[in-house]
Amino acid sequence: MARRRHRLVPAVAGLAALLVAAACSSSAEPAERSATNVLAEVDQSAAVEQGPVGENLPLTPTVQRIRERGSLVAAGVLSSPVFALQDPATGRISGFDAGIAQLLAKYILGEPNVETKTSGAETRESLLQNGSVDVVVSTYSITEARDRLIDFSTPYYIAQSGIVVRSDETRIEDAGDLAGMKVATQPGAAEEALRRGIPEAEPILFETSSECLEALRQGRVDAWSQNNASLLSKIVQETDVMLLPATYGTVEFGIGMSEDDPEFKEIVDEFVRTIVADGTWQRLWDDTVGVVQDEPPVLPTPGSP
Amino acid sequence: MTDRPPLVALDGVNKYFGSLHVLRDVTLSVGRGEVVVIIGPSGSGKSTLCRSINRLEPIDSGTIAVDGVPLPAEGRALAALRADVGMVFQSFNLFAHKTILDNVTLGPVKVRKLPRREAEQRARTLLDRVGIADQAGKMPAHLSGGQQQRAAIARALAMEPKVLLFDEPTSALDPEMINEVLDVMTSLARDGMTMIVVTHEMGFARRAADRVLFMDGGRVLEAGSPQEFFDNPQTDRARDFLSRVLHH
Amino acid sequence: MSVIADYQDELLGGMLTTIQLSIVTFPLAFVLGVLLSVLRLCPVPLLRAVGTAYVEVVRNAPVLVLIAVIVFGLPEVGLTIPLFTCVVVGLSMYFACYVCETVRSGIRSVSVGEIEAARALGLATSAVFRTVVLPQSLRSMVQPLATIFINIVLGSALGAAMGVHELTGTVRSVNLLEAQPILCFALAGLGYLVMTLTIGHTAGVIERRVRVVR
Ligand SMILES: Nc1ncnc2c1ncn2[C@@H]1O[C@H](COP(=O)(O)OP(=O)(O)OP(=O)(O)O)[C@@H](O)[C@H]1O
Ligand SMILES: [Mg+2]
Repeated sequence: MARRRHRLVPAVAGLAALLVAAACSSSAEPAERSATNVLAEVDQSAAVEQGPVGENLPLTPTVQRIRERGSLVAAGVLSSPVFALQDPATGRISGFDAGIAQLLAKYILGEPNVETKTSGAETRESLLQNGSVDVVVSTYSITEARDRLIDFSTPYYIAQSGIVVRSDETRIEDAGDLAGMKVATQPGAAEEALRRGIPEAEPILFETSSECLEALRQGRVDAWSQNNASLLSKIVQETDVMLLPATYGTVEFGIGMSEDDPEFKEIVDEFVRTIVADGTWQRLWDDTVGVVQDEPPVLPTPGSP
Repeated sequence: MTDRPPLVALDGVNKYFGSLHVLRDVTLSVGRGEVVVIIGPSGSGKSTLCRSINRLEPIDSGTIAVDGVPLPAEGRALAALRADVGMVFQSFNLFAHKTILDNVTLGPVKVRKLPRREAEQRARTLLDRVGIADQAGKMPAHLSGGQQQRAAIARALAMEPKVLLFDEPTSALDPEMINEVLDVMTSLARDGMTMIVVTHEMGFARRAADRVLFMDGGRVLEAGSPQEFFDNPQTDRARDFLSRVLHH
Repeated sequence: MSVIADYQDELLGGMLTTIQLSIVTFPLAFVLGVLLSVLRLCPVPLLRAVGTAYVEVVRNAPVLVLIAVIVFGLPEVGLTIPLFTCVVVGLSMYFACYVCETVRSGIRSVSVGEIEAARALGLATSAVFRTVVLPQSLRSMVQPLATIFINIVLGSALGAAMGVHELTGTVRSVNLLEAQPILCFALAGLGYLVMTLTIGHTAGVIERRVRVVR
């Protein structure tokens, strides 16, 4: 027994040291843990509550599959503040995209039953093509390259990328100044917007926005860029960094679907038009992105494909 | 045999493995040029005795001295002493990653700090003496057991030891190879090498030993010339042992 | 196919970064691992405990967490090192545990008889280690070490999550822009395959050269 403790003590001490080091750097945790008050206000449930249920939907193969299963399987992310962010304590996912997925489920099923499959940006098309998921709702930018592989709904959101710098930054005023600079961003939509919008910048990728913020503070990068609503949500309470007024890279988010069921695309397009028309979209925006942003984006002639 | 101090002297040596008392009050002195053969049943402590002389096994009480110097504890001094006490093992224990020549030169070069050329010259002479000069460049695994054991003897001789310990040097050999090793040992004995040999080869004991020791239960029960011992053993245990090994 | 031509420089750059990460990490992990094995085999109980504690703690932490602690934790105590270095340090610290275990079992595989023979010749403990134990155990460690090297190459993909744009990260980005997952990931697979096969082949050659015939 004494022998055993002998071996255990240093092991425990070492582990403790590691944990202290980890605790010192709050952002070393994989999930977005620093839940600011702002993010706690993000709650799509009221909007989903008032969301419409589709009537006389044609029984396309996808609709049939969803109804048999009793839930909508959606690929998404869990680390995008204001759009889809999971509270590691409760497991609840909150945000605009999370609301869209639940509204779509309710539209098809009558109940907002969503089964979220987390996926990296690289597997979204494949997941749709091989039928692993019904839809992708995941700050999914509509691009020509993707449109060749899958179907997109009519745009349900228009995002702009913002730029956060340290408060004492003097070199960077707008997007053009980022050329040749190190810019922290998250893989996926944010990275894509940055690469397309400012090809001369050097993207430095981190899995979570907390890590991006920390890297900016530590001087590892010159700026941090992703969609400006997410940025706002993360920095409203910070004083050592600031969001520049300048934005760049307007992108449209769409719901991704397999090309195999064209009739289903019509249902989803009709869904987007319906929630925009009946005010659900506005309510959802108010309760999620609107918590941090003043003006909603104007959708391109709402509802037209 | 002479009035010079004994080369190896054990006095009241006791050794335990846990609660097992393996050497009991062993007292023994081996003179310069003397060949002592140790026989006895399995588990009687022969190997332990042999290994304690170069402190591969530490002892619990008593003293062991080599050439008048008590065995030092672990460290440089002990290493120096071991260089003077050669050892040949039952399972040869040649360095598997080195050629026969390198096996033989390793000690002289690393311990005696002999220049490599000189060490190689000496090694070749020794390999010739044990009859395997032509095997110098080979790896141990490519030699027969008898050749490997002769190489191991050459390796021990290369240190120019004061005394050579053999722990059952032929027990791992096929019968047809036993004699080539015993012949080498006999010729060493004839040349005046001091040797302590644990063996079951009674022919070798008769032929080459100055003295035969019979051990049982960790004690030296008998010691005498080969004639005395083999023709007129004093204890029942020895008689019993001899009748078993001789009429085998 | 035009993806390959269009992104040739990026892809080669990513591959080069992966190679650099691995080639710097492996020797560091090796040296650290050997030191750890010396600690774990040494007769001083305190040093042995330190070695054991290190291996138990670090090996049981996810590598990504380890790297994250280095990236975001060290600056808290005033030490900000480049991301590339952070990833190298994290991978080295982690894989050193496996090197340590490999070295330990390699050393255990050396025949006790040969060690005794070396001691009986009068070699000091350190000389026994250098001339008999180390060379023989190294030989039996060639394949396990190659496996560790291969795991380092594959593990270096974690750099993508910590701002180091190596092969996996590059391919992910190219796919993000071009939506050609099959081509992109086949390319990455090919890149890793070339690297790991090279390591495996080299290990085979080394092993045949130094094999101890028993
Ligand atoms: N390392 C060890 N640990 C524990 N017990 C041991 C050890 N080495 C030997 N022994 C025990 O000590 C006793 C004496 O062993 P030793 O090897 O000296 O006998 P031996 O006379 O050489 O026998 P054999 O003829 O079988 O070689 C035996 O009972 C053996 O089991
Ligand atoms: Mg024995």
